[in-house]
This record gives sequence, C-alpha cells and structure tokens, in this order.
Amino acid sequence: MKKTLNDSILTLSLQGDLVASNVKNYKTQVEQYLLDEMGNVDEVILDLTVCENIDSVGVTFVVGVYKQVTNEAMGFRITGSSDEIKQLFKLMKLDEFFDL
Amino acid sequence: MDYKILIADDVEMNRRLITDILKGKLENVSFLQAANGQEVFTILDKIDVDLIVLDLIMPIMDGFEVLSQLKMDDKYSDIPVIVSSAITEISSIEMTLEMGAVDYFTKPLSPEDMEIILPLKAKNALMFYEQQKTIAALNREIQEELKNAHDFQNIMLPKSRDFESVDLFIKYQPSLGIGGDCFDCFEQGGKLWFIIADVTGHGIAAGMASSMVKIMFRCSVQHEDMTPVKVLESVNKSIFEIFDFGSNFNYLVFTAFVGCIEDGMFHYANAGQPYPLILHQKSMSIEIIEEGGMPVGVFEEATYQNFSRQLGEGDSIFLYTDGLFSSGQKTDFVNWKLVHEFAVEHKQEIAIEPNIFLDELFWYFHAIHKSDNSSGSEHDFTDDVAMMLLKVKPNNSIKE
Repeated sequence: MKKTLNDSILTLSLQGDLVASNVKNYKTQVEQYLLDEMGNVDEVILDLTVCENIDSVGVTFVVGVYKQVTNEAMGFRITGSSDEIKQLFKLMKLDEFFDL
Repeated sequence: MDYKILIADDVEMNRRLITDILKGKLENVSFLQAANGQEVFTILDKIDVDLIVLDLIMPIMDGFEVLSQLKMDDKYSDIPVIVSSAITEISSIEMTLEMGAVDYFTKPLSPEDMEIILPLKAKNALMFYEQQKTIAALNREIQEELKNAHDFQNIMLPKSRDFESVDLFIKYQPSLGIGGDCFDCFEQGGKLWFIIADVTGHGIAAGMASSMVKIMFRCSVQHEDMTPVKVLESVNKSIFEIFDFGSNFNYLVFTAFVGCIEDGMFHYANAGQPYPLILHQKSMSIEIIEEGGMPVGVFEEATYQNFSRQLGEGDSIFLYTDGLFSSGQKTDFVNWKLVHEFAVEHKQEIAIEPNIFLDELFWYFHAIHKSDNSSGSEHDFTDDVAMMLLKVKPNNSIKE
C-alpha cells in the first residue's frame, strides 16, 4: 500500500486485490499510517485503481477504514474502483455512506 | 521413550557394526535386525519402527523393492529410511532419494562416518519422524474437531423439507468442513420464515458466527408483528449490543436475505445477498429480485427496506450465496448473472426436479472454477456454497 499526503488529503493506494489474504497486511498498514498522520489529515482516500478483485473480507475492511476515519472526524471516499466493484458496493448500499 | 531402529542388511557383521555404532552414540534406542526385505515386513507387521537403515543389495527382496513397497503403503510410508550400500554410483543413490529415502551412506564406513556422520544422520531422521508424528496427531485432532463441528452444523440445517406451504430443497458445501454460510426455514404463527446468510470469511470462526446468526434469527421472529426488515434490524442491533468490537475491524459481518411467506404473499428484505430468483410457474419466466441492502453488522444505525411479491402455485424462490459463483478471480463477484442465465436455460428442472437443478448448477460452477484455477490448487470452490430453493405448494396460504 502506498501513501501520499497532499494538502491534508491522505491517499492510500492499494497495490493488489482487496481479498482475505491481503487484508491483514492492509489493516496493519492503515492503522500505522493513520497514527503517523494523526492531526495532519482532513480526508482519507482509498485508491482502488490496481484492485481487480474484492471479497466479503475486503468489503468489511473498507467499512472498517471508513468507520475509523469518520470516528476521527475525517472525510472518506474511494477512487479508482472498477464498475464491478462499484456494482458490489451499490448492491450493499455502501454508496450511501461514501463516494465511489 | 524408546526408539526402535531396524537394521536391514544381509551381512551379519554389518548389522552388528551399525548397531554398535548407533548404540554408543544414541540414547533411548533399541535395535531390530533383518537379513532381507521379507524379514523387514515381517517385523514391521508386528512392531512399530522409528527408523530403518536399509542395505540395497540383499537376497530374496532387495532394498529398492523394500523402499518402493514402504512408500506405497500408508502404514509405513512415513517411516524414515536411511539407505546403506556398498554401491557408490550416484545414480543408485539419487534413485533411492527420489523414492523417498531421507538419507544415505556408503560402505565401507570411514572412522568419521562411524564416529560422527552416521549417528547424526540417524538422530536427525528420528527427530524428523518424531516431529512428523506430532504434526500428524495434531492434524488428526483438528480433523476430528472439524468433523464434530461439521456434524453440529448439519444438525442445525432445517429439520423439515416438507412444509405446509412450500417444499424446501437445499444444497450445502462448506469449503473447510465447516462454513460461514447458513440457512434456515420454519413455520411460525401462520407464516413461513426463511433466511440465507453468509458470514464474512470461512472456516471455524465463520462457522461459530453462522450458528449465532441462526439463533438470533430464530429469536427475533418470536416477537409479534415481525417483518423481514424488522428481523434484519433487530439482529443488526443485537450484534452491536452483544459484541464489543472495540476499534478493530473484526466485526461479525454477514450478508443475509430474509423472507416470509404469508397467504401467498412473499415479503422480503435483502442485506447484501446476491440477487435471488423467482420462477413464475404460470408464465415460466424467471424474475430477478434486484433489491440490495447493506450487510448486517456493519453500521449500528443500518436500516433496510421491505419488499413484497405475490406468489402463485408452483412458483419457486431460489437463493444462493456468492461462494457458488466466486472463484477468487477478478470481477467474478458479478457472476451471479451466470446463475441467472443458467436458471433461464433450466426452467423446466426448477419446476419439475429442483434437486437436479441444484446439483447441475453446482457442477456447472464446479467446472468453471476448475478451469479458472490458475493457482494449481485442487480446490474447486474457494468459499462456502449454500443454495436454497422453495417451491410453493398448491393452496399456498398457511393455515394456523
């Protein structure tokens, strides 16, 4: 996962699929990045451009990041998601909570 | 513990020499001797042996034959074998190692071989075997636990397949013996209630969670005036009340579709399950129930929507979890469309032979996953698979 901080916007770019086998690493990294940048960030963007596949554990991860970020009064949105991933988030009505 | 080492050599002096070398260097060992391959198996039939030191050239049955038979027999295939031979050709040694020998030495033995090398090789082989036995015992224990959990999960499957208002057909295959998918169907207060749910992840933890889902579902419908929406919202609320998730991401999250049939009306709410299908018997048309909703356990304040459809005699409702069409390959989570296409092509089976339809659909995706499997894994389905088909009986209104 790559992180970029520009104008108080922290972009977290996944470097692979959002599936159970990768989620454990992503969790650790996100927690560390948020800790490192605490106080410097107004919005977190999860960039899924490279992500081709997502499973239920991946969806739970995204929701977890959303909750963690919004609990800290930061904004959250997703960019770069494929049409299929958007379709899945819409099926689960998660697009009501964050922009895709 | 006393380790038993079997020395197989047709020359008595060699057997005695190797025994003496190892006896002087290893503790807690006892020795057995065989003069040919046949004697090896006679001993193995009666005594558990922890290591075989095997000469390759012997009368009656040589070492190659012994090694080959040992490796083909599940009872003996794990016993470590150290090959001893006067043969120094690399090809013979290579062949025995390929056949499964763990190590080798050549005769005559040098003083270093006797003092250091052979005892070390024997010690390493015994330790390796000991570790293997421990792992095998742990595996057996885990398999036994999984079997118990699997049996328990089977007990929790719907008891009846023949309800007053519908016939129920199910197919269930957990990916690890126990799974996070669950379904239930029962009659209560003049209504037929059913649920299909898929807990995030799979395996033992998901299996435990799915048992809780089923219990929470059963408890929630006990209340007066329940609707599918109220069931989902009540279960969702219970999750946040009962479980302390803290700040980590390990939520009890699951997708679920809850339905209720009363007086021929089908009421339902969807919490992120793949779109179910209805076969309308009269028109022989397939309808997709294309209403979604967020998974349960994600947001405490989650709300759901209630929908209703009129059902006719012989209509069938087909529900399935995403394990059916997801193979872990890219974008395959939208492959529920393939389920729809398959159902359209097999409408007659849904109407007449629902069990055959479920089987054929299962094997259809089994074949797709097999052909997609780039990882080389033997597993066809990477997730739990649950399918449920309810066929409305004539005079479908349920009498109290």
